[in-house]
Amino acid sequence: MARILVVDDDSSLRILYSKELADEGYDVETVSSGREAMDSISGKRPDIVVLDIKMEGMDGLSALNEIMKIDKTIPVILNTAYSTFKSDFTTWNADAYVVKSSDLTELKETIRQILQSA
Amino acid sequence: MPGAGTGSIPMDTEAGKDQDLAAVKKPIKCILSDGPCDHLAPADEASWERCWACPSGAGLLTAPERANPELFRILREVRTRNWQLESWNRRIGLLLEVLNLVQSAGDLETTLRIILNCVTSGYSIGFNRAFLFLLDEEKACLRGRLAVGPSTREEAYEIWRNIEETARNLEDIVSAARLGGRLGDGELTRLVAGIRIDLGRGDSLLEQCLGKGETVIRDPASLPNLDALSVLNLHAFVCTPIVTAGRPIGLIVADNFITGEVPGEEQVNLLKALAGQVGQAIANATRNEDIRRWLQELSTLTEVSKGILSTTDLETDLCLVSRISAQVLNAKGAVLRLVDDDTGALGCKAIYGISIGEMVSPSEEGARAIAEDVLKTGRAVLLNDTGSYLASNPGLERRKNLICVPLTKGEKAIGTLTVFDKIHAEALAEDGFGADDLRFLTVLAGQAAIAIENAKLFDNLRKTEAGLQELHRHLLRSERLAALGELSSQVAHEIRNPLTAIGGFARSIMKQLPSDDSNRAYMEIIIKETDRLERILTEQLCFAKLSPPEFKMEDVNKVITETTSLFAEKVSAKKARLETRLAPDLPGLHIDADKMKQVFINILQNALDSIGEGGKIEVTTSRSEWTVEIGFANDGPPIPQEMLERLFVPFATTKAGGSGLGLAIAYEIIYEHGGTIDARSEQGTGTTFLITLPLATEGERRRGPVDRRSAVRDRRRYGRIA
Repeated sequence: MARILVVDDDSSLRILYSKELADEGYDVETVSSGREAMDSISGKRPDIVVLDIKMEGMDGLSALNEIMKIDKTIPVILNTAYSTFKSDFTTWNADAYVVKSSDLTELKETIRQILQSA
Repeated sequence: MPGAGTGSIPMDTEAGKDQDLAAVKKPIKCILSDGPCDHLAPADEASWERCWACPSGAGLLTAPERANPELFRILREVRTRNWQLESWNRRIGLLLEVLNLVQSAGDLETTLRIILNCVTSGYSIGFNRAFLFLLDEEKACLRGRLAVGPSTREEAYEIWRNIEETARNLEDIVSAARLGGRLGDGELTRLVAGIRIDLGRGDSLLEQCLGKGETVIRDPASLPNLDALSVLNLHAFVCTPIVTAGRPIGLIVADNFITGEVPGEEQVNLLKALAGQVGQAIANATRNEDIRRWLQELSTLTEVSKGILSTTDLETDLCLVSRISAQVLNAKGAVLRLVDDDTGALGCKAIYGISIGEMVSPSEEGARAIAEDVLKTGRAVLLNDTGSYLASNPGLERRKNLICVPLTKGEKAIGTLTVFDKIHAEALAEDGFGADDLRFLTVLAGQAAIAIENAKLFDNLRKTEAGLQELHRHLLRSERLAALGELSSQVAHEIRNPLTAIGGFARSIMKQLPSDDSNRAYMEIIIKETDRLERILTEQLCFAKLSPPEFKMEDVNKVITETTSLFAEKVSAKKARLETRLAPDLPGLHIDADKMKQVFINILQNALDSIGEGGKIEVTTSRSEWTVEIGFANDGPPIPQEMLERLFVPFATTKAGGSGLGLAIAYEIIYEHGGTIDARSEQGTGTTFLITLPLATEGERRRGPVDRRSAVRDRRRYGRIA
């Protein structure tokens, strides 16, 4: 069972993602900050990380850098309310960029594709 | 008694009387001369008590007179001589008075008329006819100016019959002069005004007289050098120069055309005395006339200046200058040419009294060549005989005469003003333009040059100002939009997350609800509404960060067809029609196809929302010289005027579900493309959005939206977007 780490500072979204992704048959862990994400990754390597960008403390882009330092092979999906970061080159390290939407179809599809190609 | 016992001094005659005259004279019984009198008498003898020429004061013979005829004959002689002296006295006094009056007559015409009336009045010098010539120093010629007297014998009787009523005394002479000419004067004046004697050849009788002083010609027919004077059909005449300050300024010619009498010594002396005295008066009146004309010119110039300086519109200015210069100079037409600032070529800018067709005729080619000369040399040209200019400038045949002056600003010649074909009040005078005309036109040209430069400056200023205003408006919009974008991105974060959660859970719940659950419909509403909110957020964020366009050579028609195909389904759902009428030969445009598609989508979506069931949308493309125009017309209800003005302002929406950003985004994108977008909406004709995109090379586009087409765009934009 593929293991997904969801990093988002919005508690409602964490609940939504863990339920929806669990329904898809994934093992979902949710954390609320970049720092916690680092801790989690250091403990156990996830198969994929869904990373919010705008967060208190360490933001998603810094977290992305840290993750790359720990393990370059972990696929990361940036999931944010802004489409504007798309053109920011620091986001290029991520495997995908999905704009947040209540319709999770795109996110689920992206996860499926990345896991398949891994 | 001098003469044949006539007792008539003004008609003092020599023996020679022509046969003609004898026929109209009949002896009458003159009380004074107490015997037959051969004075001229009208046919109607009954109305005369005595010969008209005999002095007043004579009466019927009284009884004592009859008793002592010799004594009384002597007495009568004494009385006659006494009267004669009185008469001379009176005439000299009259002359003096005339001189006084003449000094204060004011205008030249009246002055001259008083003088000639004095020459011809039986109460003063008593010539039959008098002609006045004035010296034109500028043109070195003598010109006939005025005549007084009958032109035929019949007129003479007519005049003399009324003489008692019209000219009893000096006041009558003067008031007659003020009233204008008598019968015959007009005809004679017309004759004399046609006479022009060029000086310097020395062979003319009048020219000789100017130097010699008064000359009596007894037999004009025998003279070889009468030339121009022959039209006057002169009898024995006297010619005397009018002199002032020892310098001749003109001539008076007088004869006894009707009575045929050779001017007597007294007549000649009186005329000489008069001519010697009135010179100053004529000189003064001429000067007054000049001053009056200058004042008039000055006031015309002031008016013109006021007129041309008060308008700042270049075209109006140019037309005004050409019209006024022709009218004031009394000419047929005028052509104003200006040097083009860019090319340096002299081009026609305004015409008056000449058709555009004539402007390209050979005759104008010649005139243009003159204008170019004037521009080059900076010196005015006055041509009164265009024939002499023909050798070097063929094609000028159609111009009788012309003046061309340069328009100069400082040292620089900025154009030329040509006035051609002087119109003369009197058909006979055809001297063309004079030095006065040239002087006036030169001054006018100076004023015109200032006005033209002002208008040009103002025009530039207006263009610059319009550009600045546009830039200012855009800056305001940009600032507002930037602030808005900043706000949006913050708000979006705060709203998007909860929105995602709401919608996400709604979808999640939906999946688990049985298909017949009555709450499904409500869940669907939640999902639909969150979708809409998300879409608005996306649009706002898109607006907050419009990425710079990537221009590529694209076929606009193709972009339109791709966009309209997206709407096919929506259009048919509304039973509407979406038609395209695209110009087949449009050139490729440097545009960002994705962004342009966004513009088209936004406009089409609005159009689709506004039309009713079965409505119609029409998309057209067309090309003009500098631009490609794309029109989106729909037959929906009109947009109110106040809304029309705020159409492209962010958040100005009338649609219940609209974000108010669609057209604002469209405006931004079109602005980035250096184009314009404009909306027109009227009851009955529906609403049309018109996009104008420049046909520019890529290099030109980099100059930004304020380029040479900005003037066109500004005109279109004014009053549209606040």
